[in-house]
Amino acid sequence: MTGALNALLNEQPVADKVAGLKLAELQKLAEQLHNARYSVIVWAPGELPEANGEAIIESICNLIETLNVSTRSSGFILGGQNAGTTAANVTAWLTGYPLRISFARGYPEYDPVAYSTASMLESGAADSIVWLSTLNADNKMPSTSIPSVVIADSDKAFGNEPDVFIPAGIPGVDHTGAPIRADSVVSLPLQKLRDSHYPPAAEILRAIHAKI
Amino acid sequence: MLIKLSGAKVYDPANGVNAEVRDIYIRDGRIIDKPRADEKVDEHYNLRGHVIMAGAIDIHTHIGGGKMNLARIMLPEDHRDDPVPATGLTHSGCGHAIPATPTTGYRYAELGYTACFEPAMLPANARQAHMEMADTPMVDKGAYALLGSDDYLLRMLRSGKDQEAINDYVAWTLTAAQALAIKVVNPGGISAFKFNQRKLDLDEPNSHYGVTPRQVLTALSRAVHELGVTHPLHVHGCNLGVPGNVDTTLDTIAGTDGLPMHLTHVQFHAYGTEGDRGFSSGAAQIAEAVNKHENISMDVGQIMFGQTVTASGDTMRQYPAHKFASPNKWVCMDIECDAGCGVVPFRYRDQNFVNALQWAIGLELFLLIDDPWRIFLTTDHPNGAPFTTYPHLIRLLMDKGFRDEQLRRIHPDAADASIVGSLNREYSLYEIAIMTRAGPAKILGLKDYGHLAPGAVADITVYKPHKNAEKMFEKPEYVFKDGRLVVKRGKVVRVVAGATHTVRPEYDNGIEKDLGRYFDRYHTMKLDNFRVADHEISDTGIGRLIVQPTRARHKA
Repeated sequence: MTGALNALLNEQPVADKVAGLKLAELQKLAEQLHNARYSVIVWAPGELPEANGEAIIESICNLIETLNVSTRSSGFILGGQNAGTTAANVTAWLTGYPLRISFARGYPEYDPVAYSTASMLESGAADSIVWLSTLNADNKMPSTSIPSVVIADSDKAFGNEPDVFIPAGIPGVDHTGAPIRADSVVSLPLQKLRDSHYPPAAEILRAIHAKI
Repeated sequence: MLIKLSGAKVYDPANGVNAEVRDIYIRDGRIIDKPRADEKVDEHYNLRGHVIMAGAIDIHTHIGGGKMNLARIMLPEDHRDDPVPATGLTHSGCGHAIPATPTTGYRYAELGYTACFEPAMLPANARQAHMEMADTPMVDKGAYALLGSDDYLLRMLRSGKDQEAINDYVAWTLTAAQALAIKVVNPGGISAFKFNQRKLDLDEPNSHYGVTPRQVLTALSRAVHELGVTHPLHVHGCNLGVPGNVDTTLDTIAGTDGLPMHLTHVQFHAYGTEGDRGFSSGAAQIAEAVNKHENISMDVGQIMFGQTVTASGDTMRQYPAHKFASPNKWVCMDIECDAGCGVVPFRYRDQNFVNALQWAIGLELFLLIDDPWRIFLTTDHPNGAPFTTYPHLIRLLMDKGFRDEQLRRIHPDAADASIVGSLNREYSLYEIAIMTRAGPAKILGLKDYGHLAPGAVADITVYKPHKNAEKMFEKPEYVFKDGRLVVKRGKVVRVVAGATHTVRPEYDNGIEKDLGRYFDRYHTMKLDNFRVADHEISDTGIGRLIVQPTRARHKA
């Protein structure tokens, strides 16, 4: 649909019906966007079909680009569950790359396809798995037969029992933290709300690293 | 711990020391006059034949905040060519145009820098900027809070709020964002772009607020001055990159009413419209004005040829620049009530007339402005070039033969259109020390930095002189940070954490009542969460705060 809107705004031919919308309806929407002083197109990457999600996002961006020639328009992404935005930002400043990085050669290498958890497990490239989950108990470690370590606030973070489970505190409950919001602009200072004997996951990782 | 550095030639312009052979003693992180008679020297460096300067200070370098991360995420292909493996001592990362934060810290230190200042920290993004800077080891940091396109200030100006109230808001922002100074970017223009204005001249009103850039500049420069903040308003002016913007810049200089003002990356604001291509150098006119107005300081924002990325709050100017994006990808963002940002990768080419003339205009500014205390060496990292090009830039300034050789390589029409070839000035080591140490420390109000007198923090760089200044400056023999040896022969030998410099001018707490209501109504976070608390910086184990003094606040 966004592709059709973009085509209409660029005075290119469009089929009579696109994505269930009639040409007249599309023309009306294109006109509204064109006449709006500021339009915002919102999408949630997780809700887009996996097969052509990237193409849809590209098409939205093209539409926004066309609109900005004469008026103002922005895209807004709703996403970043389980502090995904935070993790991607932190790895970006520490390594240059967002998530899905390999350190196997001693320096960071980025490949969002090859280094996804699913493909690493599927291809057998992974020798072991360390599963970190302190925000969402439903975020479970995938079942696997390779050696596994879970650092989590709850034993609900795994289905099959891992080889090692290290309980950790919850940011914003057991210790402070600073998650970054979906827009990668605003971060929130999380406070420690209760005394807990579970250390922050960062402390556990530091302690492990110090012994390696 | 007592360290003795003996036999080197000392360049310490803050104290008038020019190439004198002196011994320097460091005790527990500070420079002292002389040890007691019974004191034992723990480390002795015989530095005969070497040159000593204070650690270098970069007054304008984009090292922290969301726009840098956007740039990093946008350009994996740039990182890929410069991988940085971990060592027993240092973290892995990546380099070139927008290095990973650890790499940024190491590479600055390896060039003899001991402090770096992020010039465009969005208050709403301050927490993240401080987190990034905390993860930038080796150097001290600080940031300038961005105001001038924020809805709250523009409302104040529209409703004619008095200067005292504006001063309170500015002081509150400095404190809440943990900033050292105030920066304005395209005053009111980032906001105007949200309302679809595509340009905004100095006296042109923002269509929504009816406020002009000149009003914003006047209100903010007065606020900074009356609050007693040492660093003058840090100004990225109107019309960046637009041919003919030399007039805007001259008008800005003339319109300050004698108030101090720092104009940043002036190279991008020094363009005329003469010649067949309608693009010419305005450097001579600007240099004349800066030489005459002692209240003006500036940094250059020199461009260097090659790949880099531009990242700026100036969405109004970054948006049209996207047509020159190379590689062809870019992003512009409007950000809430605060401002915006635009990231556009650039490849400056020596055979492109405009790029070649930009290079020459930067050099003209360096060579035509008389007082090295009021001009600072920057490439506006990474916008004009990555900071790693500084040694090459220093050679261009110190070596006319080399400069002329480079001039012959650029687009011949640009070389003809510039007066660089006729300029014979060669910077001395003393002047380089002013421009990269003593001057920045003075203009930022870092009184214990940028010099080598007893009492100064022992941030010290030792160079081995070389007839090729690039060779000399790209590989310092030793760098000391807070009195500890951190770099030896251009390589990090010890990793340290730097401090964060801030100011805390006084303000009437009553402003929080109105701000609190405003935040509840218009912001997406509460006032209390907006504020970056001291412990968020000082309790991380990798940071500490240093509050620099301000002069007493005086009434408007």
